[in-house]
Amino acid sequence: MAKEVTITIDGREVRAEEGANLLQTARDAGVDIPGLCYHPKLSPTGACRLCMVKINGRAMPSCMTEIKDGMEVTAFDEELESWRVTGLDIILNEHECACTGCHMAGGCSLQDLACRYGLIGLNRQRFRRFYKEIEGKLSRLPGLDRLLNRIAERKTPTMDEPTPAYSGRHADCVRCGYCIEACPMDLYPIMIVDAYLQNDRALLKKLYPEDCIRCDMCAYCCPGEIKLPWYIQQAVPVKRSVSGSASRQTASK
Amino acid sequence: MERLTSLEKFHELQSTVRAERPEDRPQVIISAGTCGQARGANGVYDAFRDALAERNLSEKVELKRTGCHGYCEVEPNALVLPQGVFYAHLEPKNIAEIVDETIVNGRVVEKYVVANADGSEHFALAQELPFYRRQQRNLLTLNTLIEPTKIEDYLALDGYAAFAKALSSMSRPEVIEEMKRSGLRGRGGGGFPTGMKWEFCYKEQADLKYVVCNADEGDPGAYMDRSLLEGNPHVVIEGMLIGAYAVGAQHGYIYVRDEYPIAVRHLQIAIEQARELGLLGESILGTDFSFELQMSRGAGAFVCGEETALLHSIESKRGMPRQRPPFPAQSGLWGKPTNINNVETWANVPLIVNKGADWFAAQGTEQSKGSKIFALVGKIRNTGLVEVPMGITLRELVYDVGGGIPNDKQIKAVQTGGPSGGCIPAHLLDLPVDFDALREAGSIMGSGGMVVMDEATCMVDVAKYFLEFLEGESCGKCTPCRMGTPLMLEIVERICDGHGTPEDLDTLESLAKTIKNCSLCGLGQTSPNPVLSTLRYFRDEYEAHVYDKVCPACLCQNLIRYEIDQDTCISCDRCRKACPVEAITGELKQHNYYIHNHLCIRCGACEEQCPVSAISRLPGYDPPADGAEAKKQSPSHSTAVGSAGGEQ
Amino acid sequence: MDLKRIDEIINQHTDTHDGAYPPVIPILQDIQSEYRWLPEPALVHTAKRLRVPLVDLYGIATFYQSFRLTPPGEHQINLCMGTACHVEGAPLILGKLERKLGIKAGEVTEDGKFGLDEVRCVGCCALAPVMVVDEDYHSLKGKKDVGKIIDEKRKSDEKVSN
Repeated sequence: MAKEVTITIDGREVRAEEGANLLQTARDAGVDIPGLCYHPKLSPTGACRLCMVKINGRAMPSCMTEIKDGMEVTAFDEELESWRVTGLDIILNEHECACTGCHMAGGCSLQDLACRYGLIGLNRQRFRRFYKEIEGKLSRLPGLDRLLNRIAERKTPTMDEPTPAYSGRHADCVRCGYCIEACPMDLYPIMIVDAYLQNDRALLKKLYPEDCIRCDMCAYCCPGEIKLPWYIQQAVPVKRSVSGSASRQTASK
Repeated sequence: MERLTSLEKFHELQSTVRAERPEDRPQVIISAGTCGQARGANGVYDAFRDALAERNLSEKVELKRTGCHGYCEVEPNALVLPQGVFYAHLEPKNIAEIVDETIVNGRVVEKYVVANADGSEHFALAQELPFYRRQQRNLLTLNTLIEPTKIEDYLALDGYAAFAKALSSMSRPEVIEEMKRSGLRGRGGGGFPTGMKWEFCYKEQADLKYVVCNADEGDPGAYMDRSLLEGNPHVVIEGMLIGAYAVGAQHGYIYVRDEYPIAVRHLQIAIEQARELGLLGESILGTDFSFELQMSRGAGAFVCGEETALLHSIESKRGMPRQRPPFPAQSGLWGKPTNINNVETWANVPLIVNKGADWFAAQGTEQSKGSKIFALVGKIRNTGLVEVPMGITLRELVYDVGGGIPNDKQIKAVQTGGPSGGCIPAHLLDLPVDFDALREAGSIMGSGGMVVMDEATCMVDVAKYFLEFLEGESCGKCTPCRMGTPLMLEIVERICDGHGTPEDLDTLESLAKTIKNCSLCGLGQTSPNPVLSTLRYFRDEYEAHVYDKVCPACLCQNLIRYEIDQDTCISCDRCRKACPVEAITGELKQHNYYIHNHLCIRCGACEEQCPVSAISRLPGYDPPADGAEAKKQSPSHSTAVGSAGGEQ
Repeated sequence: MDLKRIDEIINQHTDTHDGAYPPVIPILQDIQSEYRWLPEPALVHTAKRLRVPLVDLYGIATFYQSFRLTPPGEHQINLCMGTACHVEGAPLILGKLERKLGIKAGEVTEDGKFGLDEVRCVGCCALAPVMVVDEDYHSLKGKKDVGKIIDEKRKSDEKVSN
């Protein structure tokens, strides 16, 4: 059992575990430090630099920092926020901001941050350039094909309905086991899909679909080209409605 | 040679080699580092060898090739001892005369000696040369005297004596204390106090520790470390031995840049010789101290000069830096405590142990002790490597040592610290050269690269040059450096092309601040320095490019024009023939030659060909009546970015 | 492709190396010294022998600039683009070379005779601007004619083959 210590974040005292991840601890305590490359299940790398905080005055990435007793953390100040805005702007500059047609819209961390820092709506320059390109060329709208696919898939497949071979639907599964072998999070993608389609909530509870990091490895390996990630994402709210948002990690402690 | 199994045997060998090398023996020493060889030093060496053989002097006069003597401008050069006569700009055909006059008859041949700018003074002896007079050649002196592939030469001049002293009569904390008292700071650019660094590593408890030499020297225009490795590899080995003893390391690596083949070869030979003598390996000199040294070759990545990236490269991975802490002293190579120092830092260690911390601390300034080697290059008369005491002013370096600016041009700036540094303008030439003064002025001392720039250098172009370099060398891990540096480059390119806007200057500054503060490693953190320092001191040049669409230095391709001065032109037709894009019209002897600027690609071929210098570059592009844009030059790396972001 | 030679090179390193991760970089450097570039069959074989994913080898080959994944020209022309050479007009010389050879930096002429590359600093700043043709260093100070140097190289090649 790790030692419990006290740190301050923006003047507020927070109890934390010594050696725990500062970014995760802050977020758990309700201090929403932005970050794009941090994932609670993967080892931190410190690449996006949006989570920079000042520790005892020194700028450090919070995702790579371990908690020490008495740490004084500044998570939000004018300078840090200005760095975050510029950092986000740099990322968005390379990004094809096609939110209106992108299938990630609504579940996209970049979009969330861009909205939070007021960069999406106000970046008229970027959008003007984008819209100019698609004027009269609607068919080249990036993501439109994905949007159309989604509409097509809204019709929930069932075990009874006959499906053509390799339609991307669940019925094409040949039980090869590749998706299970490929999953870096040790999930059982095809089982999640089965449980979801059969509405087996008890089983879903044990399969932790919310741990999916959307790497798409399962879809990549699937010989039937089943859209496993899509099904898993459908399963997440179902699972949440059953048992709250406890993830595997906290459940095992 | 026999393996040295004890300290006594070491001192015996030392006496033997010293006796074989009396200080006043006749020698001819050719400077033959990479730059010397590139200029023909090997041919000069062969000519000496043949001339001496013909006169039956091969046994009496010792002829040797050493590393770089530092006076690169006048290479190939030869030093004749014991008189100390310095001959410069040598060619094989001059050698017979020199052997006859100087070696046989003891007379100086004045025409091969260095003269001052107007030829009124001649300097026959090396110590009289203005280039050498102001230098403090603690390290580079040995470059002039030892043959790098002969360990005996090094031993005869106190080589490995410092190591023997440390091993036999100093405890490990005493060695570290001596380093701390000397005030030696890292010579690779970081300037971190060496003694303190060693102490961190010493304090770590581990079964295995490493010492590493950073010989990556990635700064373009810097070749100090190369000269030390080519000319005196043993001093680095000795420094690492002392350091390994002090911190408790059993293994060492020298990470050498792939682009230094001679340095690699000389290091290999040196390591083998040291191993043969038992100075490397088990139970060195009969003690319980064992140390193995290996070389690790770089493969071409500037970022591998950063210590964590370097360690990853030694581990045969991609050279990507990682977040620090933990620092290499706690967790370095393969997770073990590792002490990394630069070549020049290691080279200073034996001197400090031999002559004492007080001797070292008496040189230099309060916070920057000792001497530093600089590569003085660019628009300077005496290009070369100079070792000067810290605290010397830039003015002394440029004018007293460097001989001033050639071609009657005015100095504009001195660029220090390579791509991580900045430009010091002419009005600050009285600044002392040390770690802190240069940092306050917006640059850094860096590893020692010093590029002198004159009025024909465009400072915006300099910023563009360094940004191009850094964009290519960015490892790609963190967003501010990977994506921000190309953005800064895009803006500066636009400015150089005449499409800059006033907002661009503000955007540059805010981008620069974020990149400086948020990047993961030193490369990213210092990548805005060239832009920030040129903006600080040469804002007028940026503004000329942005507001007036003019390049005051007449360099930026789209903001200059070539014009023929009709009064000087002799109508010889050479320019028209030289033009690769047929932008010049005119008829022979008709005095109607004209350069059509909208067709011109500003390659300069016509200017070169004109025998009467009638063609000159003028600032400002003169668009023709139809307002056609200036044609873009097509060299691969200076393509103009079109109107990206140009919407207003 | 003589895979036996590749095996020899690999064995030289693995026989003396006892760490966990194989010495990929020295092996690739030796393969490149042998063939002047890294041909794909060599990389595939090395990946198999070292039990390292091929993508890792490509990751290293593309990260470090000294590794070539395309064959070089018979004669490699390296133009130094270091800081000292830059202020002495190296970009204009690059333009001249590109026009003379009809290729861009990084490419090889169609007849395979000449390859053109930019390099950062060969450390001969006193000779700036510097062009290295194979192993010969040429100082282009005083606006020396690069075209002539290349023509002479071509001529001397023809003399040898005649």
